[in-house]
Amino acid sequence: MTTLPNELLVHILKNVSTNDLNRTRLVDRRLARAATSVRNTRTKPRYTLTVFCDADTDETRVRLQRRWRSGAETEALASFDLDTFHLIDVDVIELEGLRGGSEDALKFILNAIENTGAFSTVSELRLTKMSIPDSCTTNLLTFFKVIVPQCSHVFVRDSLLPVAIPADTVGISNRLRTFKWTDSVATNGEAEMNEEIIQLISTKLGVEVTTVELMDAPTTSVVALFQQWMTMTKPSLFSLNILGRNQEWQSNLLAECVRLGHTHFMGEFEYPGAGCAHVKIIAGRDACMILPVLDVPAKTPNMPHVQARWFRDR
Amino acid sequence: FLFPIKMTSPRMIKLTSNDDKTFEVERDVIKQSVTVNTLITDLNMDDEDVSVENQMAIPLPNVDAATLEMVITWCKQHREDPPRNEEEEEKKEKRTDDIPEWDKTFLDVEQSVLFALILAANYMDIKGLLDNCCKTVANMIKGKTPDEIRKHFNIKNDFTPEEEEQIRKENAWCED
Repeated sequence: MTTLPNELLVHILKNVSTNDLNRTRLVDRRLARAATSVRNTRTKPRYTLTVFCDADTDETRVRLQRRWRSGAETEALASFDLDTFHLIDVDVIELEGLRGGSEDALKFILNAIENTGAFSTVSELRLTKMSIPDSCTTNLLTFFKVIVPQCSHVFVRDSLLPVAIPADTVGISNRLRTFKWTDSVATNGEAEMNEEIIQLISTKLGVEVTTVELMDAPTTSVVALFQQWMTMTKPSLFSLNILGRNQEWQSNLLAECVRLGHTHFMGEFEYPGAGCAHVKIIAGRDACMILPVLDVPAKTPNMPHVQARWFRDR
Repeated sequence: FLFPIKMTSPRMIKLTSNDDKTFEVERDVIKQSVTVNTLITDLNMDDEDVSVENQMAIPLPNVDAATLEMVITWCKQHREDPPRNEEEEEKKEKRTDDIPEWDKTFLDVEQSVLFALILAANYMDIKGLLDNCCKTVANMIKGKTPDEIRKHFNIKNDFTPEEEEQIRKENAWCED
């Protein structure tokens, strides 16, 4: 094998599995180099990166969990080897329960983004129970600007942030299918973010954004969106939850819809274009939900047709 | 009526190995070598007026006679193979269980001979032969531990224990 030049070793190793490639990397330095260059041409394994606060030690820790696998590697953030990110792709980022450690966590991720290629295919971002101080505003904005446009799903829950996800970051997203901003507050930019998301739904109605949950949204934008929705030829596939809106706001929304000529029964509007399709506005104590409802004939041989109700609120 | 039928013998090409042995091989057979094929075209050797006796032999300075003989045998066996579409081949899932039976037997030779064939196939640019040789070597690697691979190919471990440990750690992130 010593007679073969490196490019032919690579040619040979292209034919072996990843596990065989890993074993070949342990044979000698020359084969290790060839095997590594073959490995680098292959799709990297995908991991969920979670940075969280250890409840017992109050230490900020990093967990990497391989997609579709059980078990995960957990290590203290301070001692985590950044070179690991050269070997993998991160497709989900989770930040959980960080308060004091949020600054270090953001610096850690931004450093990894800058120095490795592991963060170019992130599809999901989850911020849960985060409390990020004002001093992190610049880093948080940079983080949002790099990560959010890549994501199909964005979830922010029970969090206090110095700044909302920037409106222009949401606006340029081509992939966003789910956006949930729940029980969370941003000191700055929340209204602009919500407005931009409403705008995004309105331009890509039923195509890109499937679920949107907002803390706040102006009535006029929602009514305009509702109008557009009601005039579609096919019922679209998304639901909109507007939280933190009082009953007066909800009554105004219904009244405005009626004023525009849409009659309803218990908040349920029939699509003009499809008799079996409805839009339902569900008013809660401090939340308002709009979702499409389809009455689908459930046909069983030799039995009368039965109407089944299908809530398309995925 | 009897029409005179012109019997044309197949066009022959001369190849010389690095140990000065000359082989005559049918043009149609050796066309599988991109290197030889390009030389024939570039040197205008397809001219029918030049007899094989007067024809210049193509030197193959990187291939010895024994290996060249094997290459020619392989090319004869595969002369009817459809032309390869390299783009399609690149896209295809890599497998090593699709080596034809004839090739398996043909390539069941000593390692030094197999490696010489790989070098010759690479130099003469015969993709099918190169692929099947490489797959044969890949099959020797499959399922073996690093130590078994070292023994099989007579390779010396030149890692320090620290380097080995580092590779083991990295491998853990990428296991299938």
